[in-house]
Amino acid sequence: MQPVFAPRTSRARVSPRLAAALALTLIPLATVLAFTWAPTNLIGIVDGEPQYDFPQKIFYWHVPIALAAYLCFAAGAWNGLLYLLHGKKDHDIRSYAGVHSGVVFGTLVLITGSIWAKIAWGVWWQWGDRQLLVFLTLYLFYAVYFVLRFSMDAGRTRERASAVFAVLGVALVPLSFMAIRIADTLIHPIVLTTDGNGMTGPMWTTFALAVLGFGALAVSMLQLETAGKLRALRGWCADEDEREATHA
Amino acid sequence: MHDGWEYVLTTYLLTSATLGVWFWMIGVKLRRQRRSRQEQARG
Repeated sequence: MQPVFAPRTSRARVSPRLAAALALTLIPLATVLAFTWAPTNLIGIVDGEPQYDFPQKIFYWHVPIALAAYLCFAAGAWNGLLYLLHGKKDHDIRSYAGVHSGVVFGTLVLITGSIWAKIAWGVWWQWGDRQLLVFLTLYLFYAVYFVLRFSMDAGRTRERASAVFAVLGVALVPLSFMAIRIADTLIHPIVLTTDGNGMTGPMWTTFALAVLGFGALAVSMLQLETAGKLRALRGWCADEDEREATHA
Repeated sequence: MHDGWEYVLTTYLLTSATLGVWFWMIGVKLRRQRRSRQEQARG
């Protein structure tokens, strides 16, 4: 008989419910502020008509989602490192959840970025931009993680290989963040600079709320996905399909 | 209406839908697990 009231699977520092509530409060708030409070930059006057940089509103979701993706990848790598140090299966599951969430957020970064690029640069993708290339490399690297993981039988070997892969990938995160600053083309807009790059107080406040909101969402996703997989792993769920899917 | 509003709208809707479906799927999975545990408790 499986335990019904099982002990806690983890010592979660942040409650997933609290994180979800924060996300569901901050993200809509930041979105409303982005359209009602944060000013829209004037980019010129054509035929006497002022032209505004309205597509810049995408920034309030695109960049926080990118930071959430980095957070998830970092969580995946950190737990991969903990697995290599301690060999606990929990860390393997947490590492997997981090990479999985990071790839979902990463997909959204690429989609929202492409839409913004289309309206700002006139193209869906800019191969000359190192920031884009490094992020794409990071994304594809972690996408390959799943190919590696699910091409091996469950067990210590697979867990170790997955952990090493997750740790190696995180080296691309700071490289991606810094790439824009060492890029030659300087096409990608640099927003996070010490002088604010023309962003006003309301724009920064709105952006900060969005970052906190999407950060909370990422934490919530990580906690919930990890909780589900740990339950399946420990056989607290009668659903055989789910246990199979977890590859415990 | 500002130029490019349709791009902005598409971005926000697409992202909301993706994250909403993901959140919903995790919720469905956790609820199924809770039901399963309750059934086990009843024997």
